[in-house]
Amino acid sequence: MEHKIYTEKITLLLMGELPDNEAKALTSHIESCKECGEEFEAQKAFFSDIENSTPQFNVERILSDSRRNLRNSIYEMEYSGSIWVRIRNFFSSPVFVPALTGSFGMVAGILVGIFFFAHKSPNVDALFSNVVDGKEPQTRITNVRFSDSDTRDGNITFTFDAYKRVTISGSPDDPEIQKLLTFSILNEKNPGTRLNSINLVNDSYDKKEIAGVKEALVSAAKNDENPGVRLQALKTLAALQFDNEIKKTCLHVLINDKVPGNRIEAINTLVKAIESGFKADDEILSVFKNRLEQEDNPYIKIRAKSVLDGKDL
Amino acid sequence: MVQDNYNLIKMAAKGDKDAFEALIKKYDRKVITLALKYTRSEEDAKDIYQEVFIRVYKNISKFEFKSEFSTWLFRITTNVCLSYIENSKKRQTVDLLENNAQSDDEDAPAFEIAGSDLNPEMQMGNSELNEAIRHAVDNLSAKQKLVFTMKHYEGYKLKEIAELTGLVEGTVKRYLFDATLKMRESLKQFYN
Repeated sequence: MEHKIYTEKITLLLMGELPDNEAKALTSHIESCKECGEEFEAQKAFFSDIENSTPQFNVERILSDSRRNLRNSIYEMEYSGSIWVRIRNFFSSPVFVPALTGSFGMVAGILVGIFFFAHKSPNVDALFSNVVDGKEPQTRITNVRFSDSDTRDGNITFTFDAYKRVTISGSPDDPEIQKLLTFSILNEKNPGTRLNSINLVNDSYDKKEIAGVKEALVSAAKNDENPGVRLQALKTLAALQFDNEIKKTCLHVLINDKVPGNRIEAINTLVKAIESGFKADDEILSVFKNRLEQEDNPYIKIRAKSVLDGKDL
Repeated sequence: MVQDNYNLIKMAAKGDKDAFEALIKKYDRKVITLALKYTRSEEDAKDIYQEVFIRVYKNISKFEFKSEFSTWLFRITTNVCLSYIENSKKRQTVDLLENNAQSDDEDAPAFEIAGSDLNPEMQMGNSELNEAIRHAVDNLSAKQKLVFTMKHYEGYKLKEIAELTGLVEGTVKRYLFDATLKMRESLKQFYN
């Protein structure tokens, strides 16, 4: 048999992809053939180095970021009329995709012109009606990527991320402010800021169910990686009119949240709703039975038992 | 198909976001690790992750249970990986010079240009050999690189790679053999 065929079979042997009978035959051949023996050792060393070169990443952090980004993307898809999608659309509109034949200096010059002249009006911002200080914006640009840098057709295309510091003042009851707070609850990386945003929603005198706010609180109560944020989101939901969605959120937290304090808040909210007349349906009773059997926390077990015994109904 | 997957898919197809999230959490770790090892870039891997699951989200109602959900998902993943590499050949990142915006000059630009983060967070050993391996892998064709990554960095069997990429097993073997040959040739200085 030609040695080239042996070379490929040795590759399959080292990858564990050769059937047993063929592996035995090949191993026996390798032991008796000097050339194939050397090839075997060479490939073994090569694949060992390949294995040692496996790229290492902080997968947990990256996965957490990716999940959050996906959640936000789906949220934006669902609420495409929101102010933040309009902002993003504004920055990605053809105003910012110029035709260039020059260098980065021309790109920077056009961007300077756009941002400088876009803020000529000192008091009124095109995007926000509550902007207190629209003067001297500091806009940062990063992550410039050229999709098409071929200038022969007279056009180039690139994308970038633009960050602008904006100050807004208004009532927490203002729907636009509430939407911004909602965005912060879902997007902000700092858990303290997410918590503050939830607290501000909670402070809203008129907790109307503005589209997106309740959903953001539900998402935060179930999925935020910070237990304090989850707890505060749950408490804020508890202050709203109790309904099926809030019930499902409480049940989700009761089953899944690893923090006992959060599960306690969930069961207290459910029991309070039941005491106020909300029907303890089969879904609730099923979860309470599950908690009675599997819960570690004695308070939760007692609470569940009291509902199941009918004392709190 | 596992019964709970079936129910989750049905619910997700009706718009139940919790069901969708529970479903993707079963598989998304494998998606992100493949994307990371294939692109060797955190940003690119995140982009691939988004693209994959947005496609899944938009098309889950069309899933007909003719295959395992995981097979369908990873077929999308490999397609996105391959098309991402093709598109990225046209993309360049630009080093932005930091612009000091603290000048008193009235003509100074009213914004700062932050330096772009070009280098991915890679914690590989920085030895010369590892760097050469990285370079050699990047020089493979998109399909060779994908098959090579799935076999050597993710540990898939040939049969699994064939199923997930839609290639015939013989073609997968050919890609692997050719990739191995090409890489050994480009790294031969380290093995004399």
